[in-house]
Amino acid sequence: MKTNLFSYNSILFTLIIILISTITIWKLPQTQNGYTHIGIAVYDMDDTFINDYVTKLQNKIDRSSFSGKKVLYEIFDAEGNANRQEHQLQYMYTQNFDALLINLVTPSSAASVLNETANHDIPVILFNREADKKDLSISKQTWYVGTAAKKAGAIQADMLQNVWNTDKINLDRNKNNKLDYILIEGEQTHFDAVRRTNGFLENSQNLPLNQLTNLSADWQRNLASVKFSKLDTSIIQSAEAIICNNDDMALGVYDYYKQHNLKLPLILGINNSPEMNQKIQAGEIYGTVDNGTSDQISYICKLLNDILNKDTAKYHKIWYSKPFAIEK
Amino acid sequence: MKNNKKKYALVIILILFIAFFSSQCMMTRTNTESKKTVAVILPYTYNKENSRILDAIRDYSHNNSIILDVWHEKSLSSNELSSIIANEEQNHAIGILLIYPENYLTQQEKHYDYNNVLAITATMQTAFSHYAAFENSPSPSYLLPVSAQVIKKIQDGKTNCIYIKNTYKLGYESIQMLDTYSRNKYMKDISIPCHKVDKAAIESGELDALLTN
Repeated sequence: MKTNLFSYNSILFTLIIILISTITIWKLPQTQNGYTHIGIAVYDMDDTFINDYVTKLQNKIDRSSFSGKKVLYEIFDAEGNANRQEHQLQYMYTQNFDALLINLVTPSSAASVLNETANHDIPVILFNREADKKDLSISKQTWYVGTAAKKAGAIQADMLQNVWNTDKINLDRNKNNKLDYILIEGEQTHFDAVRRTNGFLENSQNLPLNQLTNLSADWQRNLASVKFSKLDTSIIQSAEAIICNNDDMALGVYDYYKQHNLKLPLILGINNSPEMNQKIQAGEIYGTVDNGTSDQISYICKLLNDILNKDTAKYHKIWYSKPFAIEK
Repeated sequence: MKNNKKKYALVIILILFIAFFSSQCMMTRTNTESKKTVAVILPYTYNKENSRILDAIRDYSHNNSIILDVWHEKSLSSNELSSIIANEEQNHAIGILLIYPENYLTQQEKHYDYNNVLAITATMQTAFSHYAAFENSPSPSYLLPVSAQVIKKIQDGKTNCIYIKNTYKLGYESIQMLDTYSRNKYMKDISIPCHKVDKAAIESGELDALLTN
């Protein structure tokens, strides 16, 4: 009897010890990494606009304070390759990032990316390459920051209108009372390319435009120069204005004219890249449109901070910066 | 009889509680505690020449449950480097990987004597206890990725041959060395030979994996 009671009490005591130990281990604080981690996925760092954007973003993040913790970020360059970006994103989903900033190679693939980030419970800010609005509603923790692309195109039209009104004599070289121009567009499937072009065309109804031709150069300087060189010489020589969806392509056209010692027509771009700005101030290129990149970056950092503090209720899904004209 | 039933009930309840809290323990602890941390210090400005090194580091990390703490530095004194290393050790980092520190360390004449630091470097091999570098190679030499135009010149016979520095292998073996160090506290220098690429090598297909961007 006594032995039975002793055995029972021993078993009971052992079980209680095991239970207390299990609860203690369960409640022990887990080892946490002491830093905030941000992943920045970029479509192509060879794109001068994006390269400049990311550099400014780095500078801003380094100067900002986020919830009292040091922020460490990683930059992922997809080099314009959707498969490469997909591979990078698969890595990013499992790296315990606190938030992701994503500049999609293929904005039409946003749904699959955002489904994954939602599954992994990672907040995402898409920037610059706009996805479909309905894709942004996949997760509550997704936002888009970019520019009002149509407005940027409209500003190009305003700039052209101003020159036509004030300096028609020099602009209308062949004196046909028409503004003969070439349109150079970005990627054909890119929302920004379509909207910039639409903005330009819709806002230039009062101009006697004559489109000599148009081509698509995927935002790239070199490609713009190569494709431009393949145009008929008579078209190149007739062009009084070259309207480009971005600065890199505008500079590609500029390169062509300089290499062939031809008189530069009026060239307009979008982005206000450092080199473009320099050529505008030197009087070689007429103008560009600044996308409000600095405002976008400030907004992204503010949103990041509020994401980390779980205080994002006040934010709309989409935020656009205001573009503005840059001339000499 | 009644007493016996109460005793058995109490034991069963205790066992059930133990089972419940054990399962809670397993569910919450599996993910975070199994990951190791490696600190990587990069030059501040993004450089495409480092892209394949980073690809390799990330691939290895992904397959071996490693989290990266990535620092970007414009300039770093020896004291600032010490501070980062100390902070990362407090953060339980298993090692620190410096990528081309000649681009940001301000005191390059010093010797940096850290057992848990591996430097990928072209010019500062003697400054560190452990380094990873390419062997000297003839010209012309290229880092990965090699452009299609360069390959085409070889195929067209305009260039006899080139030498490729496999930056992916450099990055992979470097982080692998740090991971190994975390287990057996042994680290050695890494020296990567260059690949000779001529027309025959391209046509044989043996270098396809290396030359694919």
